[in-house]
Amino acid sequence: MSLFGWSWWIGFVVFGFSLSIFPFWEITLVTVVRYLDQHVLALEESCGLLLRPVEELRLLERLQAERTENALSALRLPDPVWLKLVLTAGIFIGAITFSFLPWRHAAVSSETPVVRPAAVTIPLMPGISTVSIRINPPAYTGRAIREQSEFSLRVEEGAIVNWEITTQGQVDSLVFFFNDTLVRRPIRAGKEVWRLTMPVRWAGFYQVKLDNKMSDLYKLELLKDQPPKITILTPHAYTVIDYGESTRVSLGVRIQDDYGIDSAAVAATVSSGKGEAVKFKQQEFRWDVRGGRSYTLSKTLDLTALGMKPGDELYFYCKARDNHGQEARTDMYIVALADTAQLMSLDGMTMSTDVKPEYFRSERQIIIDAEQLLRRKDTITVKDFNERSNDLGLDQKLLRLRYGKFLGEEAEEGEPGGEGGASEGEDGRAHGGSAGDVGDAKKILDAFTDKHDNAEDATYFEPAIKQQLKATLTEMWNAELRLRTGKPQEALPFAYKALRLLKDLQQQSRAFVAKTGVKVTPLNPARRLTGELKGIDAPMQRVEKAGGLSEDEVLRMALAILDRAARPGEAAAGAGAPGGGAGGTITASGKAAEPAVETNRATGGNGMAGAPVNRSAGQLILGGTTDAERVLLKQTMRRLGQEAAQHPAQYLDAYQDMRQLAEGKKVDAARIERAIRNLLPAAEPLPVLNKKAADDGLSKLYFKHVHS
Amino acid sequence: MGYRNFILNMSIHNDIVLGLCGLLLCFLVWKEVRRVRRAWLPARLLATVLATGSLAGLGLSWLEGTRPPVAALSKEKEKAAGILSVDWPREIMEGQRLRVQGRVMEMGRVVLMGLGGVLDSAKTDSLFELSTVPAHRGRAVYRLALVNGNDTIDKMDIPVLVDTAPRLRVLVLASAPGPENTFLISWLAQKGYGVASRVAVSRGRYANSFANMAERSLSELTIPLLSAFDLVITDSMPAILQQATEKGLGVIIRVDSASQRQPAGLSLHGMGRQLVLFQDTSFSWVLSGRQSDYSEYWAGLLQRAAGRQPVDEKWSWSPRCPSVGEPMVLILQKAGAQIPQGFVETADGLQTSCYLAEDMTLPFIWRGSYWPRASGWHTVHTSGGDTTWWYVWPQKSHRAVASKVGGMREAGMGGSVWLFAVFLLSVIFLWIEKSRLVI
Repeated sequence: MSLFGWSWWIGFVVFGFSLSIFPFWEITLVTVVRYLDQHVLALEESCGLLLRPVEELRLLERLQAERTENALSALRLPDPVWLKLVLTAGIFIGAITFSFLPWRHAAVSSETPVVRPAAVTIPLMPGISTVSIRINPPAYTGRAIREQSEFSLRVEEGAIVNWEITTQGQVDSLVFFFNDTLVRRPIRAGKEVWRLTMPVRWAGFYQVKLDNKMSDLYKLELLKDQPPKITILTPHAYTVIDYGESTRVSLGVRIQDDYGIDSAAVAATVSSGKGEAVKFKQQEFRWDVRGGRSYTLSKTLDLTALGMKPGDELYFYCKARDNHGQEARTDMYIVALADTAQLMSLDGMTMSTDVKPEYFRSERQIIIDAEQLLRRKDTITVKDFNERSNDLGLDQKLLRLRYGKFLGEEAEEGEPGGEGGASEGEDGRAHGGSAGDVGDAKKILDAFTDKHDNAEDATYFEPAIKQQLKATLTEMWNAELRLRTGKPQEALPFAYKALRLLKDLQQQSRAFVAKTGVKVTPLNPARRLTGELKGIDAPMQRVEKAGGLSEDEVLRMALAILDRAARPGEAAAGAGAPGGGAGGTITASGKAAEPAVETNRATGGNGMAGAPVNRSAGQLILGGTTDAERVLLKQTMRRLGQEAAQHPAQYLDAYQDMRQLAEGKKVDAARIERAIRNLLPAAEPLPVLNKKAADDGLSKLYFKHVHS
Repeated sequence: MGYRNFILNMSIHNDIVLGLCGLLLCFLVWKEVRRVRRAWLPARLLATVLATGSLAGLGLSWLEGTRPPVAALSKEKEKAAGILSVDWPREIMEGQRLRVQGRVMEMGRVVLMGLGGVLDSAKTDSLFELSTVPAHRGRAVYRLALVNGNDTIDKMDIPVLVDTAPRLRVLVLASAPGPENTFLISWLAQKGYGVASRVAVSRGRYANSFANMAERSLSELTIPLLSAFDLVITDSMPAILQQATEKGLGVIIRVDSASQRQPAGLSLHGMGRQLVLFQDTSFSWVLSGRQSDYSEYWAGLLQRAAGRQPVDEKWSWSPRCPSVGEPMVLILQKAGAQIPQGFVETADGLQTSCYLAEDMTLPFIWRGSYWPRASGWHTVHTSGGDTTWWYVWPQKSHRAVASKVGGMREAGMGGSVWLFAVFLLSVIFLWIEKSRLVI
């Protein structure tokens, strides 16, 4: 950016200079005419005549002016002017394009120096001229037979693979080794042709041995048939159908599989009754599914047709089977019908220690009263009906305000309306104030002030509970609205819902546990309740961590060993390392004892015994490692082999590198290190004992003097 | 050299200075050209240009002076570029984070590579901090490189030594069984720490458990018993614990709302530390799968509260990054009357002795000089003592060696004396000419 700004300033200065040298504002018609006269012969130096007004010209001058005018209209731009224009335009365009060219040294590439692994085509073994592999996937997958001419395989589980190998010249024996354990011998089908057919059921790697030469490790990846994936789109995991809502549930399901779906069904169970008298009825609904790969199915479950009453619950799940016989099912989904009878019962309310004052109607009471009013609707007058409905609405309002107090809404100090009380206006202001209230400032203020929301009360509950409380209050308000306008029938569903939400809110922290049979030792009445602890021993527990290194620790130490032995030869001048160390091989005779950990805690001068390190650039030759270190590397190799068998795509290359390392060849250790780091979990921080170096009692001396 | 750098690093202030001087130059030149007197015009123009140019130069160098020190203005003969300084902890424990911090001279991307891949990188033009949790245990050498596109401008070896954490011995005393203690004890036992616990299960009855240590009687707390531990976690603080804390024991006290103590923090009592915590439910993190949070939390607390383990010897060295062929000093901190002798071994097994001299003022500090001949890891130990590993860099492997913190900045404005002289002379000439005293 600044570089750009610098050139702007220079350009500005140069422009200023050029303006002072070439003042373009001084070019007038006279200058142009003079220029044309000088440079264009055809004008015969008479352009000046054209500038003078026609009336002033004499005859001769007029004639000449006409001639000049003709010549002028036929004139093209003189060449010097053209050249200057073209040159200027060219410089301008060139400058613009140059300024927009990317500046190489100002831009910093934002890419890390990533080592891009080159696309490797694994070359065949020297003794093999061609290989043709035919893969026959299982019939149910519906895939065609395919052929390839590379050893590394990616096949479906259960596919039959047919190798046909043509060697260069006749070989005595050709053997396949799968995962270092399984041996298969192909059949000789010609002088130089060998064939092997095998079904593939496990992943891993394999090698081919020609006479005595072993090939590289080739990948054998398995594509397993996954069970079908089922997603229930509607309804939610738990739905409650309240009083008055429709009892039809629409069920939407999406099923996907990689090869084909054979069957799909919904298994439903209806439970009715409560406690020990609960009854279950099971049903299954099937869909007609014909083996496609993906389906979106739907079904409408009519709960009343299934015979469900308020209080019953429907549990259902969807299951599907694919054409390989694998079955999958979803979680259990529940649809419950709200149990109005249970809501109206007093179970659980008697345990509460809150005794509500009488003049606050409870929600339950409001519902009872509303239903009673509806039953008596035909026997009372309309006016009476509306009045009673209004009274119920007032009760509901008081209840709402009472609960609203917890959300910080306004709290009414006034008296309730009461049955039959003539209350005018909404706010029940105390008009029954006695004479003794004159001196009471609070009461006077109450009559005239409008109390707004009290913010202090608003922070009592946590947000989740306040949400639920708000929902309850909304339902109460809806019920109140309809009661006050004389429609108790419409108010009932809202009242029921408010009651249900209120019950949920009050009882949400209670957990009900089923009673199970418990076998206890029989009580000894003589000893019971005496409080003697004679004969009761203090329990004692002893735990020891398993000795030796854990698997992770082995891998971590192996990382350090590999890194150390692979440092490129940087010791330029004065490297005391004699070159050409003997390649150490990992021997099988290394003991599995706990190796000495190569850290500061090793006692004694434990240097790097063994053959000197060969520091060829980047390559690792396993010289310069102790026996203990070789044991660790062998364990690491074994672990990498196990991982390569299961995830050949990730670990096979590293395993192969390590095997070559064990044989004493030069290997790049980076791939092995990356694979080991991949295997390791993130290191967990541990509390560490801090060390304090001995200081001959100096700090103790200071401490003593400071504190004395 | 330095000018290339300061031209490339121009900021908006430089633009302002240059712009104003450019405008001034235009104005002055125009005035000169417009004057009636035409004598000495070329010289006057040249003097004007020189005056404004040197004024601009003075302004820029003053701006440079207000910037943080840059080695480009130092007297170093060779071009200072790339990584200027870098530092990292000499030795870290398993699971701890390695932080590499430093400063670079020019814009680029710093990359920390090691163990076969790139561990961390950042784009910077001055300060940087890279961090990683090393996956290896033992000694490894990472590499820090400053790259720009595909070119590596500078690189440096970073030797990293990851030690096994020396294990604490913890005693847990509880007045009631609870999940908090149970989880803590099982975690520590699993990681190989020595944990003993005494939990009251009834009146006068205690449940004892021992993990990774020998059994002993915990019924009575005595000073010899407590001296076998580094840290005690307890609910209440009897007098014997207070005494032991004075002597160097670390104590974590767990209080709840019923006790009189208030949760405080870490405080020093005598030679030991005391940490008062609120009894909380950190075990729920383990149950919800956040084991790493739990480990980090408790590792931090336990480490802060625990007492210190005295070690007999401690080796260090100076300079921070010794190179082959350059002298260095090995420093031993050891108590005792006997003169110690250091033995240095290279990776190839060559052993040399390092003779130590007592420091003049402190009797427990010993120093000896050593000239490394080979690069790579070396060990040093006294006869019968623990080995300490340290690393030697190859000769001239890195220009800005880490011991030089920042660069030396030129004192004052040295080069700008010339600019000032030029300015002065040109202005004098213009004044003389204008007043026609001489010319």
